[in-house]
Amino acid sequence: MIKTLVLLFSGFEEIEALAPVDLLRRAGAQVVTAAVGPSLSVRGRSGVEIKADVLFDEVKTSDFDAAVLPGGPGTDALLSNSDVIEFFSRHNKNGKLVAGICAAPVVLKAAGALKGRKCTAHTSRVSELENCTEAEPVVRDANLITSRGAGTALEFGLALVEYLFCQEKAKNVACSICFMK
Amino acid sequence: MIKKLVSWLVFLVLALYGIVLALVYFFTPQLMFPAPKPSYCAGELVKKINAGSDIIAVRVNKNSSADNWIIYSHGNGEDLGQIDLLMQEYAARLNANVVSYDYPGYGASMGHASEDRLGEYADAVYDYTVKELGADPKRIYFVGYSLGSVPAAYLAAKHLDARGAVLIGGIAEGAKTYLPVNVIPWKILPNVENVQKIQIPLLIIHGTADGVVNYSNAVQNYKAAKAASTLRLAALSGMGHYGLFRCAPYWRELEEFIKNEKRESVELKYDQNSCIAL
Repeated sequence: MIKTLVLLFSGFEEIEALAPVDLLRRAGAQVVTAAVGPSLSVRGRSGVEIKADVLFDEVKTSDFDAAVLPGGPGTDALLSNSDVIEFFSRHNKNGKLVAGICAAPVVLKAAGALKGRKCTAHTSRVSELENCTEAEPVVRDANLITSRGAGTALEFGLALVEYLFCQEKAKNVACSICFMK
Repeated sequence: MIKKLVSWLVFLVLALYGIVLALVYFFTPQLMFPAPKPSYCAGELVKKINAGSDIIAVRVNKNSSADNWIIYSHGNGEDLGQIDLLMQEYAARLNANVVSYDYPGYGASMGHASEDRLGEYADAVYDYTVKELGADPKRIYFVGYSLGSVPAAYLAAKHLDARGAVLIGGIAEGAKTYLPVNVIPWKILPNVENVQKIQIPLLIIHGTADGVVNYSNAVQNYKAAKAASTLRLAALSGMGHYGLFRCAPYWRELEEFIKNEKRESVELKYDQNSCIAL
């Protein structure tokens, strides 16, 4: 079974975190939501409280087929969390799918996952990242997938499904949620 | 009057030739990589590895009792789903672990395949086989079918410690696949340049009535492979490009190639009766 991890942290963007969780689970992947910090409950930027499956501390040494990072105002606090940086850095080095949306590519950059890769990010952060442009809602380069923000979260999630499974599966999932493009 | 007609004819022929050249020049990637509609959905069946900015889907047919490894490069009109049964047969009949992969744009691979980067894809798969799967470089065979003969010969020329290479319905020069002569004034897949560098044992299997990759390609490779430590050309009389694996000598040659390290260099012709009708 395809194993993926979606990181949750205080101040995460709810849509950006839950769209991938939903779409990946529809596709048949195992999705583990992991909370940074001492509590399973984490509050998103819009005040929605979510109960994660596990604490990040409990799974930080495990290996997943994909490591997914949502954005939100809480993202910058992750830059000083060496466990999070190491987790994404390790998955990138092992060629596993590493994905970030909105402000998350800033953290992926700190993990070395953006080096020499094309990418995108939120309008407010894209200037901090070389090789990142706003031309596309989702950009894939090798095992890196980046996207722009809450408004592109569905396309982001579908791109993860396409990478981990296939185009046909992504199309089926898109169809099942009446995704319009 | 006749002079005028002749000059018109010459002009017409040249113009047509020019159009053909332009088509070949601009449409080589499309002609070379006509990826079929993906025949499988990846899931956990394949591993995804990086080849530059592209993603290569790799499948491993493990054979727990085997120490030998085969890196199989398929043709340009098929993907991992279509060669699934063949790869299982390779693992079982040849008692080997078989690593097969899809070029970018094929199956669950991502990106766009380019003939200039076939070596890069092959390198990525080789590195994965040795570093991640733990294959002993001395026990690796490179097998390539049709277009796959290009990455196979590339790897065989590069890895002098490998066990052997097999080119099946393989290419000598890309521009000579349909015709025995080259009418294109530039090089397309000059595979024979790698074939002449191969120093490890080499087996060439080819149908003499191959209408996709002309049999002359096999002969050209056979004549060029002077550096190969042993060399065999198994010509399957009357056979075309497809279904060679239904011929008994296809498997016999492969089995013997893998069993015996030292074999005499020889050109063999097999009768079409040794091939089961489709």
